[in-house]
Amino acid sequence: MEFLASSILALILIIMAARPYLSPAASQSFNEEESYLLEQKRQCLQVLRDLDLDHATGKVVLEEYNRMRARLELDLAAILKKLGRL
Amino acid sequence: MIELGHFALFAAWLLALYAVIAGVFAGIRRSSRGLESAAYASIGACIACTVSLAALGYGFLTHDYSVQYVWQFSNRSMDWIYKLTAIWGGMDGSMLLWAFILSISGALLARQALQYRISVMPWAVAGVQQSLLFFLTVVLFLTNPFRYIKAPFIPPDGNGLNPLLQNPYMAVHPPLLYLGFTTMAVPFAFCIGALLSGNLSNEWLRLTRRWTLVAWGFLTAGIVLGGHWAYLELGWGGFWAWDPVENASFLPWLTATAFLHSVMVQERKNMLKFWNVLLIFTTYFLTVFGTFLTRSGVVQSVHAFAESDVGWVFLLYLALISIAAVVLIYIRRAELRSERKLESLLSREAFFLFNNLAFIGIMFATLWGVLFPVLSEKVFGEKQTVLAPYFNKVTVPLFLALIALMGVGPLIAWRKASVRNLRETFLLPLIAGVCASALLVWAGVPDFYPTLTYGLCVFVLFTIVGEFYRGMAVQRAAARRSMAASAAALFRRHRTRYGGYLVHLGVLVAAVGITASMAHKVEQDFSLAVGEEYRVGRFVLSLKGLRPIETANFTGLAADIEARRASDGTVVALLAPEIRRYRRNDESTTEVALRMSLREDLYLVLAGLDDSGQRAALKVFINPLQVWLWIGTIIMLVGTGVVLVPRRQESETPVAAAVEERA
Repeated sequence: MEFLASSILALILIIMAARPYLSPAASQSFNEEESYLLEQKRQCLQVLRDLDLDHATGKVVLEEYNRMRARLELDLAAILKKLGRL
Repeated sequence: MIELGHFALFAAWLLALYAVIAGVFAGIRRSSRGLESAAYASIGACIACTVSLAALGYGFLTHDYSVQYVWQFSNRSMDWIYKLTAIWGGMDGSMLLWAFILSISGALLARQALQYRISVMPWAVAGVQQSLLFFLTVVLFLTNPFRYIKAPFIPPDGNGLNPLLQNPYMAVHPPLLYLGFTTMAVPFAFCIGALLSGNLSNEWLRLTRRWTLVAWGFLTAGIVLGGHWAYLELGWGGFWAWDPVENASFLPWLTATAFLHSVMVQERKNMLKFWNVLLIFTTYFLTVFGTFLTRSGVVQSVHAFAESDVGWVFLLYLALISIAAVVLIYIRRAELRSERKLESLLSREAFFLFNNLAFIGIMFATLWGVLFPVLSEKVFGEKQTVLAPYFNKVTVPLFLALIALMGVGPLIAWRKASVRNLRETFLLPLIAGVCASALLVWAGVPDFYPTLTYGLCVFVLFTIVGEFYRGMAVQRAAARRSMAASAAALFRRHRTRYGGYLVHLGVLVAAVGITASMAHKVEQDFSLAVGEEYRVGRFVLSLKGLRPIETANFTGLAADIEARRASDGTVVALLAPEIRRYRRNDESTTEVALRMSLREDLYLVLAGLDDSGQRAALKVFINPLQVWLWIGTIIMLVGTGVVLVPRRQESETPVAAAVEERA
């Protein structure tokens, strides 16, 4: 009984590990650039959100806020443009 | 089932080995199929580890005393739950549990790798599997729990579990702690993956941060539950004794906490890259090093339940990963340079750096205390033990500095704070903190450190409350919401920040609980005959009777004690501290009786009977505000949960939509 259970377990595990090589379907490739840009976008949005809150709660003065926001918006626009091209 | 368990363990070892090879191959060749194969092998290793652990559990439940480990750590009279927790009652099983939990992290990472294909992923999968491979090697070849007993016959009953481990907390404390330890392997694997692949953008860091936060949450819960277990089970009225095993879990917690702060500086400012890599590596190193310390018997511990002679394997592994980390960091040293410099010491990034220095200071002080007995024996030939006073003396000032930094760091502006910013944010909390300390001195709180701690806690509390109030006011003004809706919006939009504040709030609550229970503890020894009374603090304790206990597992004695309020005679609790003697191994334990309230814990220990056999010798502790330590921990874990809740899709956010339109 235990021999049978061990054999079934072994079979399942071998099929699992070998499946990607046995499957005829094309494998999904690495998408480095897209994920890099999405990460940049996420980070940019997070900084924008935090900056807005910092300004609204009086932690950043207006002049500094405007300067930083303009720069961040430019960065974000460039990222979105690149993402759009992909 | 034992043969199946043994086979599954071997299968898991083979699969982990294969996953390491396939992961490295996929990393070098950027092979998607290689990555998939490594990922599925990781999931397979998890399945095999599960089967192996289940088979051992089945052996315990069915009293299979042909297995040495089952015989050694269980017997027929134990409750079924303790038969299961006996799986991690000794070295062999606890290593298997470790491998099983690590394999879960490996499987979850593999699932993530299948969805999120970046160059770091194959290396990360291989990184976690190398850790699993190491632990499975230890289990399979050195501490195998499936070994048969070396006896001419199968014993009819087992040896039994250490009575101290027959406690409900042992069902959750070790698994939670192991979850914390093993999950730390994932950030390490990502870090090694980023260094190997050269993809040192902040992408891997974001993934790492979530994993570290999960590990940190488990480690926090595990450490505090361990403290709760010690509080209830060891009968000395405290929860933390700076024992080497406690310290071993505390060390990686400190470096992981430091990383969770410094990672924000890298994400925002692209600074501290090298420092963050070092922190991740040190955290993983300390988890393995802690295991080495406590499993090898190198240091003496009250937790010495699971010692063996596997220390040399851990040392070898530690040496190998250290060499690998140093070489990789050296190769990538140029990419690990900070892109910006610190502009002002009055900035958030500077305060995060101070915070990190305090954490590392505590880590080194604790490590020195742990290692000093070993070093003193090697160097001077005489073992000198380092006790709690050393740890308290060295670490308390650093903890206080951390509390102060906790108030300032998150609120001060990035880059450079203006005088106006400082005044507006900190003036009121500072006044509140100073007033609170002055009030306590006036009220007669004698000690310096408790007074300072409470003052600092009030200061930080005001900064946090102020921050919540300002944030909610902004939300309210923007959308005319109710206060509750504003708070919800605040958490939704700024989850990391306000979840972090919740964690800080929990730390404050816990700090007050720790300080009060340690600084204002009342401890008295006395004896009572039936019908006699004893006054302690605001309570009167009277012994109503002594009662023998008889169960299949142990015999014992309970003292039925009525606790009344001294002021009006109201009965507040009926307490029954016990002494137990376990039948199989003839070991004695005390079972604490506890009356827990928000104001204080009334903690009773029955030490025994006097020579006449008529009077009960008792020990009583009154621990003020003790419960707030546990409540504070729950708040910390809720805050961690808030930070971990996934954010909605960025493309849905109005800011992105507006900028996208303009772009």
